[in-house]
Formats: sequence, C-alpha cells, structure tokens
Amino acid sequence: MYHQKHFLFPRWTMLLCLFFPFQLLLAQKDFPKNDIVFKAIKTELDRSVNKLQKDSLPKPYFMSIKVTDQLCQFSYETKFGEPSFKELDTIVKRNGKLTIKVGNYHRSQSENTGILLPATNTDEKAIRSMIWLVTNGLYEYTATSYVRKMADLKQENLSEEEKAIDDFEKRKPVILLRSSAQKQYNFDYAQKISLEIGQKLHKKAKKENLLLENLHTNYGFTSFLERYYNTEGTVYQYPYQSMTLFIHMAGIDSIGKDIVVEKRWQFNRLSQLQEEITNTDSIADELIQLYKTKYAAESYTKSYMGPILITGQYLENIISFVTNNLYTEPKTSNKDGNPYQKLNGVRIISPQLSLLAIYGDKAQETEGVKKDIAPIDEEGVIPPDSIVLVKNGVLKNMFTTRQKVLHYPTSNGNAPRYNNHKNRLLILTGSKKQSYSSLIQQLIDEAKAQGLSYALILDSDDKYHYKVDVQTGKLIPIKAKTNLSNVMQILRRVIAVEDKNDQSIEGTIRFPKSILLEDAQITTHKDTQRLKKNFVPRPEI
Amino acid sequence: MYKKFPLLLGSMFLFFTSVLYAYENTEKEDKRFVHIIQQELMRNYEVLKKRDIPVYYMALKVERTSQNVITSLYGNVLDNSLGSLIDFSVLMRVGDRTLDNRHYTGNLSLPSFVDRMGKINEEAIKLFVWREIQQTYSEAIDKLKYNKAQQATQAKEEDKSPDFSVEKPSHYYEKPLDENYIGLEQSHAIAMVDTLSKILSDNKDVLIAQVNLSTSQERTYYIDTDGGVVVQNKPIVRLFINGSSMATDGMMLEDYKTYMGEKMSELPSIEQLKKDTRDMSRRLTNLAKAEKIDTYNGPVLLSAEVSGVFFHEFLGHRLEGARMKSGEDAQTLKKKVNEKVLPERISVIFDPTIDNYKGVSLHGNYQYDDEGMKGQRVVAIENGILKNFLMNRVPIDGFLHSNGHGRGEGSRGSESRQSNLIVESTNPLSESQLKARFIEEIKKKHLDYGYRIDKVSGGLTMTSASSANVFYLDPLVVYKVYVDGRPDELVRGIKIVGTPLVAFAQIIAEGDTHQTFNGMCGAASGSVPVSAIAPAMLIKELEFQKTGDSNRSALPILQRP
Repeated sequence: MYHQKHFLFPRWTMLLCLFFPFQLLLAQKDFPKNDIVFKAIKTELDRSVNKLQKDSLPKPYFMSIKVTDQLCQFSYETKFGEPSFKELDTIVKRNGKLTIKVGNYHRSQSENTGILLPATNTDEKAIRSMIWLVTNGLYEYTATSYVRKMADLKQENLSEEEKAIDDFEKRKPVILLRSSAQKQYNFDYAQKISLEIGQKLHKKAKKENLLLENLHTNYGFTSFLERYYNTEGTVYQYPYQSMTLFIHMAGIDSIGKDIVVEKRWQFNRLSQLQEEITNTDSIADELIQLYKTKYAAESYTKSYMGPILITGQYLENIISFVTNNLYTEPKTSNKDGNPYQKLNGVRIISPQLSLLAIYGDKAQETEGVKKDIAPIDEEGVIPPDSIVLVKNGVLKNMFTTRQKVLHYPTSNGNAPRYNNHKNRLLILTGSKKQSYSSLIQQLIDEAKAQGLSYALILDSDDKYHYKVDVQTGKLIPIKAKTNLSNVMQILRRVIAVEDKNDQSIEGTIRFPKSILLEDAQITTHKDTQRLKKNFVPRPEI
Repeated sequence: MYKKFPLLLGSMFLFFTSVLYAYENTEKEDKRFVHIIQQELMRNYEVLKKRDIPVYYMALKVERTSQNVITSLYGNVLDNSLGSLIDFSVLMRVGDRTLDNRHYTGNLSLPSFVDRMGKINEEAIKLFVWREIQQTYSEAIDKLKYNKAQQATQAKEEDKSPDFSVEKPSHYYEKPLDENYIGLEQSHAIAMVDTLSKILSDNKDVLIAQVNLSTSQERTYYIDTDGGVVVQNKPIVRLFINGSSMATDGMMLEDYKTYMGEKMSELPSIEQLKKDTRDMSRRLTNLAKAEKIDTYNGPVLLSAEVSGVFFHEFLGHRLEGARMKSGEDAQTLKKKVNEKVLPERISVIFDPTIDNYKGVSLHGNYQYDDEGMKGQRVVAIENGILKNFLMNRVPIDGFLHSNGHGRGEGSRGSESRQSNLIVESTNPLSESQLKARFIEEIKKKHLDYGYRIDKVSGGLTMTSASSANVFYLDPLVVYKVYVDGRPDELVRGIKIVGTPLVAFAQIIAEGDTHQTFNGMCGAASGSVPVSAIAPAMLIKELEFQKTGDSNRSALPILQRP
C-alpha cells in the first residue's frame, strides 16, 4: 500500500559551497579600506566615539564592534534509516556585537548589545544606519550606568592599591587579517556516511527488537567570517567553520522512562570525517550495545558518600567547571571579584593535577584538534602560546581580560569571560598515573575501608553510571540523575589518574581517561518526567 | 522531482539562495500522508474508546508550512530567512460531552510536536502519533478527574450546555498547491523591499525605515474520529511598510501600511507601492511637526478603515461565543439576544465564505475552520437586534452548534474567533452629508473643532469579568477639523478609550462607501487573519487619552548617517 517511489534526492548529489575557509594569512598589515564592512564600522564608530555626548554625562572613550557573517550552512538528516531533510543555505546572515565604554581607562563603564546588520558588501550607509540606530540608546544607558557606578564606588572601602588600578587596560592597536579562500565543498561523503549509519542502526535495532521510537542522524556544516574593529585602531578578521554529525536513538524502558543514546562528532575539515568515520558497523554496534546497557540499567536514587571514579564526559564537564572558576573578575558593588584571584601561589586542587592552556597556531596544529581556533580574543588581544594555570595543584595564573584586577593587570587574551572555549586547548594532566584495573582495585579497597558494599563510577553524562560491587568487582549499570557538590573542593581529594588519555569531541579539552577521588558526596534527584504508558499496542510497521 | 542546485560562480553578491531539497508533494504522496495519520488515529481510537474512562473524540491537526521572511532596513536587506516546518497537534476529549477533560476554562493549548518538514517517513509518523496519543490520554484522564473535583467543590456554573457539540463530519480535500504557488522570486522580492525601504530612508526625518515581506504557504489537515477529513491550503503574502519619525519633544510617531494577498501578483504594482511609501514618508515628516493635543471628549469622525477596527474591537470580540461559556468572561452580550444593541439601521455580518470585496482580497476568508467545520455566514446583528454569536464546537446555552468560526494557530488550540466582519447601514450618508452632520454635532457641543481619525495601528479590548471592560484604539493619523472651515490640521499624541455598551449607543451616522481593513488578530488561540469591511462613522462622543511619556524618548545625539 505504501510505495516508496518518491526518493528525496538522488543518491549522489554534488553540493557546492563557495567561499570558504582554509585560513590564509595575508600579508595585509594596514586597515582594509577597500572592504565596505570595515569602512562602515570604522566610520560610524569613530564618529560616535568622538561626537556622542549628552549634557554633563561622560563621553565614550572606546567602542568596538564584532561582526559575524554566517556564510554557508548545509544540513542533512535521516530518520529511521531514510533520508528525510536536506538544505543548503547560502544566504548570508550578519550579526554584530557593539560595545561602548564611557568615562576613561581609569574609571569606565561598559555595556554591549547585539545587532542584526545588513549583509551587504556595497552599501556602507545601510550598515552605518543600523549601527547608528542602536548606538544612541546604548550610549545613554552606559553613561547612566557610569553615573550609578561612580556613586556606588563612593560607598566602597577600597585600598589605595585598589584605587590605583585602571578599570580597562590600554593596548596598542593590532591588525590581524586572515581571509577566506573560495573553496568548493563536496558533502557527498557526509550524506553517505549519515545514511549508512542510520540504515545500519535501523536494521540492527529491528534485529535486536529494541523498539526505538526515534532514530535520526543529523549532519550540519556552517562557515563564518568574523570581523572586528575598535576605536583604538585594532582590526581583525578570520574565517572559521565547523561541522557536526549527530546520532540520536530514543525509546522507553520497561517502566516507561526515556532511554536516550546519542553520539556526536565535531570536525573543522571535511577530510576528518573520512579519516575518522569509516567502520559504520562498529559505530552501530557500539550504540546498540549502549542502548541495551541503558535499558538494563537499574534505577539508583540513593545519596552516596565514598570513593568515586570519574570518567568520560562527566570529567570533561568538571574541567569546564574548574576553568570557569579561573577567570579574573573585577570588584563590583555586589561582588568582591573572583575569590581565586587572591589565591595565586596557593594549592587549590590536588597536587596530582596540573592544568595548561595552549593558544593560537600551536593549539591549532596540535594533532586531534578538530576545531578552528580563534587567533585573537574579543577585546583584540592575541594570547600567548600557552598559560600554566595550575601546576601540581597550585594556582599559577588565571584567564584574564582587559578588565584589570589586583595582581592581574594585563590581559592574556581570554575575553569574553566564562565558557569561552573558542580560542584555546586545555590540558589536564595528573602526576600519579595508574592503569584502569589498578584504579578500580583502589576504588574497591577504599570503598571497603569506608564500610561500603559498592563504589560509584560517574560516567558519560549525568544520568547513566555504574556501581562496582566490592565483593565481586562486577560493574552494574545504574540510572541516576546525579549532582556532584563542591567540585573545586573534591578535586583536592584526587588519589590517582588513569595512564590513558581522553579528549572532548572537538579535541580541545584533554584529560586522563579517569580520575579516582578518595571521597565525594553525590546527591540524586527525583526524575519528575511523566512515565510513558502504552494504552494501545505499538504500531506494527 | 529534484531541484538542481544552481551553480554559483563568483561571489559578487552576498545574497545567494537557500536550497531546500523538499520532496515533491504530489496529490498521491499527500493522500498517502493523510491515510497514514488517519489509520493510526483510528487504530488508537478503537482501543481507547473502550477503556473504563473512554475517549469519545479525537482529532489530529497538522500544519505544513513553508515560510520566507525578508526584512529590509534603510534600503538593504537585513534578514532573509526560510523555513519549512510540520506541526502535529492532538485534540482528545475524554469522558462524555456533558463534562470532559477540555471543559472550557480559556486554556486551549494542545499537545504538539514541531519538526522540520521533509520526506514522509511512515515509521516516524506512526510512532510519533501513537506516542503522542498515549501521552495525551495519560494526561487527559488526570485532567478529567481534576475537572470533576472542581465541579464538585465549586459553585455551579451558570451555563448548562455540553462541553462539545455534536456535528456532522466534513469531507473536503484541496489538491496540493504548486511548490511556488505564491510566486515569490527572491531577487525581485529583495529589489522591491529594498526600493521601498530606501524611499523612507531617503527622508532624513525618518528614523526607522523598515519593510517586511513574509510569505507562508501552509497546508492544513484536520482528521478526526467522527470520520471527518479536511485538507486545505492557506497561502498568504504580507507586505508591511513601517516608518518612524520623532517630534522635537521626543514623541515617537509611527506610520505603516500592510498589503495582503494569496500570491505576490495580488500585491499592488511597484509604482503604487512607491507612491504609497512616498505618501507615508511625507506624512511622517508632517506628523513630526504636528501639534500635540490633549484629552478630549466629543464628536469624532472615523474613516471607513478605522470603523472596521473599531467594530472588530468593541463589538466583534464580544460576539465570540466560546469565551462566554466561562464565568471568567464579562459576557457583555450573552443575555441580550433578540434585544436592540445597535441603532436599527445597522447590521453586522461575519462571512468567511467571501474572498474579496470590491477587488480587495479578504483575509478572514476560509472554506473550513480549524475544527474541520464549514465556515458559515453569520448575521450577528440584524437591524440593530442581536441575533447570533460566532460559534465553534464549544456550545453555550441556546447556541449548541458550530457555525464554522473555530479558529486558532496550530497547537494554540481553537475557539470562536472573527472572520470577515461586514458592517451595513440602511441609511448611509454621502461624504459631504456625513461631514455636515459632523460639523453640526461639534457645534451642538459648543466646540470650535472636532477630530477625524483616518488611520489606527490597531486596538485592544478586555472582556474578562475581573478587569474593566474597556477597549483602546491607537490612532496614527488624526486631523483636527474646524467648524469655521479652516483646513484640517494633522495632530498627534492621543489614544481612544471607551467601554462597549456606551460606545454602541454613540454611533449616529454612517457613510455610503465601505473600505476593507485586513490584519492579524491575536487572542488566546493565537494569531488569525481577519478582515473588517465598514463605512466611515460619526461617533457622537468618544474619549481621547494622552499617550504620555511612554511614547517619548530623547532625540538622537547624532544625525542618521
């Protein structure tokens, strides 16, 4: 009855995406005056910074704009092993982020806003008009905030040393221009591999009677060009691109709770897809096995205190949490800055652990990095080659921006603060390395010593983990929505790390495959999702 | 059929294309889709209707929409986005018609799922529909128990009508439209919106010069367990031209013009659009220089277009039946059936079955409503006497059947809403007679002038019993009309406020020329296209309220580049 004649598209489609990337470092060292976008943003920002002033309110002394063009986007999706969606979008979308600072470098107030900009390369006035449209209001808001800030400052009890610190670091202008080379892309392999994985998963899931309710693969490619100008004269431009292959399988378990198995790859070059995804059978087998494991996992709702082994994405999330604690932060009327900026030279985590950040070409050229690394930060600062953040547990340095704080007067190119993984490679290393089996044995011994019948292994995400029976050493999969409290504190209790390494999908966070904690406290949350019941039998397809 | 990707050689222009490799929605393929969802719906219904708490009605609403929105500011495209979505919603009624899980409370939303529109995948559709029905049933039986508890513990409701009407199922199938039925040609559309926004942009007094073209090719499916199948197309093109200027005291002034049609070819010619935009540009300059007026209470002459909006707000929303089921509503007209509510010479009709008036497309037009019911002509007020309400499948006492006015936006659900509103008068006056009567009324009030309102941006009305039942209109173009024959003067800075029952009695004369207002009406069930066709009207007394400082801001420090 249901014929299948209407294929969505031919099996092989040559798709071309012009413009893009391979970063070329051009010799250009002057302002790119032939580029209308640069010309428009420079003219309008220079005019505004010189002429904006209202009554007795302070003038702006610094303005910047970051303009991001989304150049090309390609999407391909399969559902239950059949192609379901394909789109190539080459309509350029242009967004800006405008920043105004009023006052002066010593006492400054800064605000920013997002703007939609016309994606024209010929009409300077249209770009300037859109910037003008938001500039006036943003200036007035920033100037008013400055007045409030100055009033608040009078209530602060600042030391002479603190009073002497400038709010914003003055820098010499930088010109860094990397342009896009036009390139034709062929997405055939991406489509082929997506479809192949989808088909194999569909077939194997049926064979194993897994009763999936959702099975899709999504491939996405996007390329961008980023431009920046600030009124100090800094200009930069660089292209970047990313692509993701994502697999999602979902169903329900015997009591009606969702089971979700997902796998994601991220790349910055099409060739990486061909190099890394070759054996679709093994990928399908791995995911089917994972689904079965999750299906069989027992529900775990207890709290836990004792030794734990942390692995996989759970560990990656912890590293992100730690790095977010390592940004300097200026003192404000309601926050005394980041407490860690007063702990330079103090041991903040286990002496087993060290944390290093690598930047620029050195990061980009590191094997296994599958992400385009930004060569410069959002304040126009080129970071150093590397920064030792923590050495043997001792805080050595922090991520700094041009917002000066006591003891950290210079930016090391890490703006904006928090969750900024755009321009670096992070490496967590441990000094006391052991094999996985040895770590498991220690985990069991420590649990026994603490009078526990099992120990926990926190695994790939926040829901599926393992418990280890201390008598038999058997790994039992469990379902638990967990919360690891006091992450910085528990990282002081690391006993050992695994001798093998793991990394985030794009290769920019690297860490030992697992770390063993002497003890930690785990709380579990009640799952409030409505149970899924089958009042009517599942449709037979 | 596969679209070929156009080979792009060179990148002189940043606007390229978005190529969606959509499957061709042939009639055969479309009918297969209908069959899949109908089969799965009925399979589930056959089981669920036999459960201890039975399902007595189910429907699947599906909307497949391809949209393109192009926005131009200052003569250049700012945004050009395309998207194709499919939206499934499940309507389930559990219990029986006297009291069910969806007993009217004003919460209309439906469980729904939105996905990118692509090729029909039978397995994905059936599994999704099945799972959504299981979850909807699981929640519906809880909701029914809750409703029963509410009924047992709260004061008895005044309205004794059932929760859901019995109707004959509809069968209607429109063939799928061509992929580009709307006739949007990207480069032409971009050139058009850029040209129009540039006309506004060239006027230095204009601060914001925006033109937005949105096209939507929607195909809706309503399939229910009574055997009804309604599949129809809803193509829509909307061109919106909008400009703002600022008076020297910082008051922001706005003007706009909307054009709607089913196809690009139904929009006015580019020459006409340019002329209208130039007129708007001049008006924005004049508005910025216009006198700011104060509060006022006296005679007001409404243009035909404004009268339509006036009737939509102060009367139309009070004729929507479903909301009167609930005691939460003020029910202004519920007990006034067969009573005189307007002057005898006025009749008010709602007619979704007509698609144009004097060559202007009407956007409150549809064949079947969003509950699968045939749209019907409803004479709501006949010679000033209230006769009928706009009904969907939620009955109220005395009005137990739908008249095809159940409307809503996808998963927002549906309730009784307006369609094409038509105001008729048995004693219309010519333009000069109406003007003379206006002057006469001003003089009777011993005033030197009255006001004429040519254009409003829209309006708002409150119908809840817990708040004042007022309506507002936001005038854009208002003229001061002197009794001594001086030229009319453009003025600014007021809102119109009023209460419905008082306003009904204030209409003293109507013109002999009707005009059409097409717009979108937003309410609990979402945004629906509506039209209002009305003549100019003389209102004996209307109250103006100052717009106040909320419409003011400081003048920009720098001139627009």
